[in-house]
Amino acid sequence: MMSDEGRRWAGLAGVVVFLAVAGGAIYWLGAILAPFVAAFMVAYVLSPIVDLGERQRLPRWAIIVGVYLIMLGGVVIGLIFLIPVLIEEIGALRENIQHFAELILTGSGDIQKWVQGRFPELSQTLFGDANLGNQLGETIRSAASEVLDRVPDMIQGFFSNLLSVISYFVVVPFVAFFILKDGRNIKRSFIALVPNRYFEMTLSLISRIDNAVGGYVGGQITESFVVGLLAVIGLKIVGLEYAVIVGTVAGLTNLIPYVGPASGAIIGSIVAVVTGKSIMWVLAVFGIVQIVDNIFLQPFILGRSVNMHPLAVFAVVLIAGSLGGLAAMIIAVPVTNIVVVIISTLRENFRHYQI
Amino acid sequence: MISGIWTSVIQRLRPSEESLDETLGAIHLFEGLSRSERNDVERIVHFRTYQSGEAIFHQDNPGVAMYIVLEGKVNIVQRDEKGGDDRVLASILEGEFFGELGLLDESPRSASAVASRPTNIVAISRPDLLELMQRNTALGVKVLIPLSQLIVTRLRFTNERLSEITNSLEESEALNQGRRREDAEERAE
Repeated sequence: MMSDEGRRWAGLAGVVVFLAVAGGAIYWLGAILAPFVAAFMVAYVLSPIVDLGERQRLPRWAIIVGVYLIMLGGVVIGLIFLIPVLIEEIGALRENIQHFAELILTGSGDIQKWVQGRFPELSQTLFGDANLGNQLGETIRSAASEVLDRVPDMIQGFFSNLLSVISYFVVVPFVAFFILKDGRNIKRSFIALVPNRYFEMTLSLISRIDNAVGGYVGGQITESFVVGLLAVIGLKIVGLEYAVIVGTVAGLTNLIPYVGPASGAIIGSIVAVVTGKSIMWVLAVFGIVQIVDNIFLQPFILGRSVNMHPLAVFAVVLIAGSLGGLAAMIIAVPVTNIVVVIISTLRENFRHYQI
Repeated sequence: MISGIWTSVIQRLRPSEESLDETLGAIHLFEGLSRSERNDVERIVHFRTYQSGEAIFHQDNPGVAMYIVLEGKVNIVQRDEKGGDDRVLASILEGEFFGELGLLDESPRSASAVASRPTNIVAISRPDLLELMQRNTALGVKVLIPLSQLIVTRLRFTNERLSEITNSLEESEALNQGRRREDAEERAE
């Protein structure tokens, strides 16, 4: 018989080997696992809706099919209405780049003239013989054209890779369907593999993770959708050009805590300055959207807020941004929460559970 | 197909559906449930097998589930704080359940549960049962009422035991006082 001490070390070695294998699998098979991770997230987001339908004693598969049909309808309507508007606005933006660059050129030229007139020596030090307006205008024109030229290439690049299209548009809904339908059985099968001594700890861990992030991801997506919609409506009302682009970007960036809502307002303000609209109107729209979000949306949609200090959320989001970009910023908070829950449960278990 | 794979993984560990249904139906907590409601409960249970001497849970661990013995025997054991031998408080046999307070909160277990021979049990976890109760509130009421009755019965039993112990302590105190008085009177004479 193995001693308790020996068993503990064997258990610890098992956990280390498992983590190493899992880490290696994620590293080497990341691209293949990505659609499965996406499917898991889709299932996690949709599961509260399916559970709600199940309370009405409807069969689970029927609810999932219903949700899929509604989502498909939403995507089709979105494509019909949103995509043409976005394409039109991007096209218009591209055409107007020349105009905006000229505006900046004239404006900065004026500033340079004013400085030259008042402080000729300072002007010589600052600008030399170069024309500030020309330089700035040229830089902005080329940068903006480059960004806008890349948008269709990015979309085309995404769709031209047949494997990724199949992975994401076929595999994700397919896998998500089975995770939603048989999620409880899948969970039970995994728990069945857990050794007896870790059984109660595993049950406790799963429940705590669910409590910590359950509803967060789905809530965040719903909140961002509503914020984006309100921003588009508000910006249309004040008559901002490119309201759909700015509102959509504001909705998407809203997925990132703290950093996101500010980005929407900044982009809106830049568009307002360039198109000659009053910046105050744009800021008022984003201010009202934020008030509505804080008072009405967050308490009801997010419900269980994550148990993290705002400073910690801010730091985690920034670190995730520098490590893994936009996607990492979006999932940074729930992932950090899961890690915190796992560490605190394991620490507690080393004290309480005799493992 | 995938669903079939998972079902077969679980099926290997599971006793026949009829015997589990009978076991659940015979348990006070689930006796008020209809057949289809018992089926809902069966879908959330975990089947576990323990060797003789293997602990199901330890005293002071946070409780998270209740257990029903399908086959075998489980001893409920309390540690002797003075370092003596562990005390067996009760033995749980086939068709009986234990650890039901784990369905209410994560408070520490008051005793350990140890299989005294090879034992098959089913576990019902609190999060799973709560989720099932949210999905089916009628089922929730039917489970919560007997659970509350069980706790009330235990509380009443504990109160009676406490009152008995208090009375016997008072009686022995009175007896001791009487003896001391008699001794004092004898010495005075």
